Amino acid sequence: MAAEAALLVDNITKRFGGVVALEGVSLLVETASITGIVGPNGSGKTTLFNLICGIVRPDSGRIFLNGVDSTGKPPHEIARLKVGRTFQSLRVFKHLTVAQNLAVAGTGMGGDVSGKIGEVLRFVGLEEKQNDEAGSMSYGQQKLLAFGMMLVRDASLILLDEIAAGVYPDLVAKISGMIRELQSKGKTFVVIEHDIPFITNLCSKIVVLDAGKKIAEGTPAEITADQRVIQAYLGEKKRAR
Amino acid sequence: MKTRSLIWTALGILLLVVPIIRPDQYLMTIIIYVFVYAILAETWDLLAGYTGLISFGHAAFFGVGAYTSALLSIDFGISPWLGLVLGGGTAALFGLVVGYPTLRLRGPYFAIATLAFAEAARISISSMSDVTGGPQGLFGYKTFEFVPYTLENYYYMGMALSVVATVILYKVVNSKFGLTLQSIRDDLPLAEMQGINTTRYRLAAFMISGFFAGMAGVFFAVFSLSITPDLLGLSVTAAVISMAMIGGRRTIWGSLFGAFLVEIVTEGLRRTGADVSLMLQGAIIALVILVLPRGISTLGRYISQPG
Amino acid sequence: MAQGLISSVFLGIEYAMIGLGLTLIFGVMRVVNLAHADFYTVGGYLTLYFAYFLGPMFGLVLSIFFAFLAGIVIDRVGIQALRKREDLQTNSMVLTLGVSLIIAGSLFFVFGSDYRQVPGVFSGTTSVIGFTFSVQELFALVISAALIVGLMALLKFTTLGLAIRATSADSTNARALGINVNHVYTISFGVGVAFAAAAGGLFGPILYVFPQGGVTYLQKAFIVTIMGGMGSILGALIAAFVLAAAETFAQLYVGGFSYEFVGIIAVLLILLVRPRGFLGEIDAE
Repeated sequence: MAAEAALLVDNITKRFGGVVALEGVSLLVETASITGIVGPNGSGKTTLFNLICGIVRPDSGRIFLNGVDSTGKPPHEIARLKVGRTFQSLRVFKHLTVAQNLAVAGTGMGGDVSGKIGEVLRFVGLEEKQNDEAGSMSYGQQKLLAFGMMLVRDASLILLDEIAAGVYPDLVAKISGMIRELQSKGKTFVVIEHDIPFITNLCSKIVVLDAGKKIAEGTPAEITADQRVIQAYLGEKKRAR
Repeated sequence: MKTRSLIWTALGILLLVVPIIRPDQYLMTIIIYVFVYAILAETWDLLAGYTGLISFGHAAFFGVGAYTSALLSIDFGISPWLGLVLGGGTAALFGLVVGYPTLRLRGPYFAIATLAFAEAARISISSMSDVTGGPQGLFGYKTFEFVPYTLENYYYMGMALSVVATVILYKVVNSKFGLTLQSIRDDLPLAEMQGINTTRYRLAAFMISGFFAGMAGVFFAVFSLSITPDLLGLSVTAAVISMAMIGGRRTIWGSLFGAFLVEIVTEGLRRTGADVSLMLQGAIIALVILVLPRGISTLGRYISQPG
Repeated sequence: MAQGLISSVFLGIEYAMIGLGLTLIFGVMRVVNLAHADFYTVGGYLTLYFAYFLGPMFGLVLSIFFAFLAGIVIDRVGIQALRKREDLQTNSMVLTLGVSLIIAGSLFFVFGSDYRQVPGVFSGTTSVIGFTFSVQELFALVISAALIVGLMALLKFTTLGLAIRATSADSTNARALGINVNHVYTISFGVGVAFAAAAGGLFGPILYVFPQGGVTYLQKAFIVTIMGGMGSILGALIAAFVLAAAETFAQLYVGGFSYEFVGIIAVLLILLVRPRGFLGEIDAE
């Protein structure tokens, strides 16, 4: 069972000082699935990603990637287990060109990726920008580049932290399309997103976090009907307006 | 591109013929110092410009190299030729020792820690009088065998050393390895996410930087015939930073140019009797960081692409 | 032993005067001022210079005032420009390194490289509980203590002090609360370097000054700042006396260069064991 899961988070807890960021959270992500994670700000979504990537270490609990225990490993070793991740605050290597960004992404995995770079440039549609400095491109283009970097590395588990936030609708549709296409080729996605239509359209399973705890898990239909979720998350959104 | 290689060829030829024209010894000496300082500025830039590690302890590499070779010569009769490698190697090891614990530090904490390590090394050398000659320093060690000690010979040797170091460093920063260093400078956590062991890469940069800076120290020690713990002091680091800054960070060639400019101008002014070298170095550092944060190399870009 | 304690107090208050200024600047501005100790030298030389015309007392006051003005100019012209770019901390280190060389170079140019003694406000010696002190030493001690107490009171009880502490704690928030943060930075830098200059003017008559004499004091100021917790005024004050005592007794009982190592080793240990482990906030408690 565990060996088949692309990602298994087992009863994980993380505190920062006295503040509980995540408490007893478990999560099973099947290979070639798309899982959505939603929850209000501060509910622990990004912390969960940071734990999976090894940027922070859990206080208790374990994390398995394709059946391999990755708990406590440094980020670069976890990255080599074919984990890719985009950051909420968009990050690319600003002073390097697009092609150089992709080359660096390949470097960490070892092996020759030069053939792959062209392919990825075509896939994300940045062929004409390949010699531009990454920092000089538009926000949306930088998101595509960040996405492309994971493809060069041939990441099989891809964690997307608000990839659709702040980009125009056409690009959101394009990114959705790319995610679906890659899923059909066997890649696994975990997606943090505030955009509920985006996530209900895309995901087969949605996990809801609130104040560091998992309060619901199910299909999009189940989740949108769940009273607790509406209170914790959707309700908050309404209040916010 | 063509004009650039033309400029460098012309400069190279000019430097080659300088000793033939037989200028006064003073000018020759200054240019030899330029060769030494160029290596220091380039190696500093490898760390600061390419890897994002702004070190304020660079002089320690220089001094460790110089002292290693001088001591090996005095105590064991080891040739400075071998000293070049051993001095460089010791400085590289010193880089490893300093780098390993300090790499976890960010920004000013890293800078202060490198300064503290350099100061600790300087004070250690100052205080171990029995071994190192203390504050008075060392002298009377061997000079390079097979190369008679003349200004011309040392001029060509310094030039050769400088050219070799420059070419190697240029290759390093333009390699895949160099690209990876630059990605770490841009965004370290993101580089980690790509599967890059950033600690190992940065330590490697430290060691390469230390090796060549240490080698420069060995050559400097032999050329100047005596050394003191001041070689490890903040004023040497300051001079190096001023040269690398004016040349422009992230430009190996720029460092060479910066070394020329700073050394020639400060020494030239010193010669007129007004010792304003410190003031001038300071003014250069302050002005460049305020007005031309990317150094003179940006000026070159404006000139070659007007408008 | 008693002699050692007395020496520790005098050395400690001098370290405190230099270290507190550096701490204030780092704590509030997050700027590492590599030119800090040069203001000690400046304080000494300016006192020396003005004393020719106005006597040592006015010379001292005037030199502190000029250092304050210079600090304001450096912040306005230099550091504030760097604040608009990335990586203020390292850039400001480079800038202040430049300022340091300019100061040392100018002093060298004007006064030459000789060791100079600054004229003291007082001369002669006096005897207190069986020990002999120079009157200037006692004067320096008292004035320094008064200045330090004054600084702490300013931080704790005045509106300006509140603004400084708020800026140190969270500059974004302070700005949102309507505090003119740039103003706070400028004043902090001015006051910080003025303290170093005051130390030069007060202790220069007891020791000596020379153009590049700042380097030793820069080291001490750093050690005090780091030992004190990178931004804590009280921490720095305690650290200054701890460092002074450690150095004095190392010199008395161990000898050699051992005293030079005490501080540097402490700093390396602190930096390596607890990097960023301290709260870098100005506190007056």
